[in-house]
Amino acid sequence: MLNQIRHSADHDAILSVENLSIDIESKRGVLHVVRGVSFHVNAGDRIGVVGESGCGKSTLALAIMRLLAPGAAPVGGSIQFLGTDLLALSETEMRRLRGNEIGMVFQDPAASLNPMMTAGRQVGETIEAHKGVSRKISASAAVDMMRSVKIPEPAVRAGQYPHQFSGGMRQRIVIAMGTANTPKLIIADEPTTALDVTVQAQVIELLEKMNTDTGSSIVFISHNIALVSEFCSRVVVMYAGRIVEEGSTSDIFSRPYHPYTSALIKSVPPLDERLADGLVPIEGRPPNLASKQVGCAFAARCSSKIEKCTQSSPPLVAMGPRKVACWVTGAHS
Amino acid sequence: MSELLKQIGETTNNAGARLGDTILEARDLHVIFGTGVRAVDGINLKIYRGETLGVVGESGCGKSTLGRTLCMLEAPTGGSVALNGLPISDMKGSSLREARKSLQMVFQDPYSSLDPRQRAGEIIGEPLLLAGVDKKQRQSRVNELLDLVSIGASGYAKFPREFSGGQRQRIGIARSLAANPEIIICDEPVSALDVSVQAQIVNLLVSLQRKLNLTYVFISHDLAVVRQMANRVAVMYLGRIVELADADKIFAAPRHPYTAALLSAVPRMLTSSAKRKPISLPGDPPSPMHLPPGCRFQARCWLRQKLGSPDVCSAVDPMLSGTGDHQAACHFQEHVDAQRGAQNA
Repeated sequence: MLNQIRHSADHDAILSVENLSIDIESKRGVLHVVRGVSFHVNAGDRIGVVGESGCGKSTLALAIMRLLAPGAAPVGGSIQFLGTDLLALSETEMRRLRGNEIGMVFQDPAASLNPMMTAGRQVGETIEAHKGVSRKISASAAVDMMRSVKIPEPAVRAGQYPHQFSGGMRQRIVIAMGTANTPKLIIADEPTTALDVTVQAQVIELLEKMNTDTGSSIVFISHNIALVSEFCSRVVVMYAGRIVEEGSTSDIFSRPYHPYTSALIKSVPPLDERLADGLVPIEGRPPNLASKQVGCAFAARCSSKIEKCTQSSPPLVAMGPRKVACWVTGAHS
Repeated sequence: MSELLKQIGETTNNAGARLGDTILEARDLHVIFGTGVRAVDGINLKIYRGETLGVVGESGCGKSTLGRTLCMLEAPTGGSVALNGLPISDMKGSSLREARKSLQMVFQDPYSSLDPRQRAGEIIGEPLLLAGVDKKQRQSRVNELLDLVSIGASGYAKFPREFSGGQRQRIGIARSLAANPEIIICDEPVSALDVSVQAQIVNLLVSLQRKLNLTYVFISHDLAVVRQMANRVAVMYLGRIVELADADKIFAAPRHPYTAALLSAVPRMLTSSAKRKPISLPGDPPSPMHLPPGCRFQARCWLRQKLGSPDVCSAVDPMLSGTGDHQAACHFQEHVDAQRGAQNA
């Protein structure tokens, strides 16, 4: 099994997710939120994961960090990080990776920070915990880290508590914590969603700098499709727990193959013109995740569907440099 | 509503340029909170019948407080609000309640703005119940409203949890329409929704405006959504309107350096022909409790820096000025458009 996975992974993959499925126990039964997802992240990649609420993108991020909420658990597949199966690690081993080799930046900076601890101490603690340096050295490293995320007067600010910072500044502290140990992989789940656009631009600039300076790979999960199109080199499009299309950003945005990708891109309001005929919504809603999916999950909302689409589920198949799961526009057609 | 009225509504809204008389007016409006925060700090604004005025700005700029004050959910600490020429900010009791029927609000969060224990029909009909409309008439009006927002009469007996986020926002919109308002203040009505659903709600609001000759104040931090909705746009910064213009003009050639920076920060689709030239704003906005003398944007202003920090910016607080349909509160507004292109050159 392990050999098989190693074999199928890309040559220099940092992260290989193979056939991962995750179930969540809820009051209304078991929800199959991630359904057989496979993708690879190579060194230096910036991979965007897009899709609407409930498509499984955030669950995927939490699963990689092994931070799924109680009731949610992987029920199949593997997550390989530099050849180690993360799902097989003990909690202690996992803690050694988190914040060290795998950094994380979540949506809500307020919830990621301890309100009782100074900003400098929180950044310093991450360094101390993983590098085994003294408190004094970690404290000065924390100030350096805060300077690198462009917090003004870092030496003064290091002594302040989270509530003394603005939302944008807090997210910088979270980024400083998440990247203090120069991780090989950064999982960023909606890192700018709670921020204003001018602050968002600064945070993105910072992540860009991390990526080019240290070569950290980034998995960037966002519902903001325009932002992903600007920031990411590759894109994974998810719908109802599955990947429906994957490829380079320029391929996917200039010529989407999957009808869902294409509808999703079309629904984004443009800034540069007022559309005379109004916006183009996707009618209907995603399927119930509690049920077994017969056929393509998007079929009910798809204008290109054929009979086969409602009968069997299209696999994700390579089409040149990208992958598409569609009976009509995919490699099967 | 008569057919004639409907027709008038359609021509004015579609044309966009031909706007009606002043329906709502704010004069020297101030809202100062107990903490000393000047959330709304001297706003003069006319809203014309049948238009959509977009109000944009970042968190803390006072746009939501302005919206709440315009429909008297928040009492101004200074200045006045007039609806159809009548000063509603001086009204109390039953006359204020009566006037408020014309002024409704739609909120951001379709999850928390609906009572989870009430059925959709009751939620939508509540304004009618309060107005003393009898049960039979109420039911028929609610069914009409359910059709209008494309939920259909079958939604009448359902609870909010049985609806999706987009459908809940439709119910919020139906409730706001129950008392036949003239103006709807929409505060971030699509911000909590997925982009595919957001498009449905934007299109619904546009079609309702045409059908019912509504006037909208559309408050949003999302400039692309505002681009699709608004005839005119007001940009707010620290409690003030810093730019007010025809939508096409403000998006094509902003006259305030803050607007230019805001526009440059919005991510563009890779396929968009217009590539952005980012303008970065240093630092955070100053505290709304301790504003500097002169222009409130000066500390973060890229244009001021470019022009060699002229004294006037720190000495004189700029007021809105310019031509009738394009006003900005900047001493150097005629330089903004030319200089923003050269920002990263």
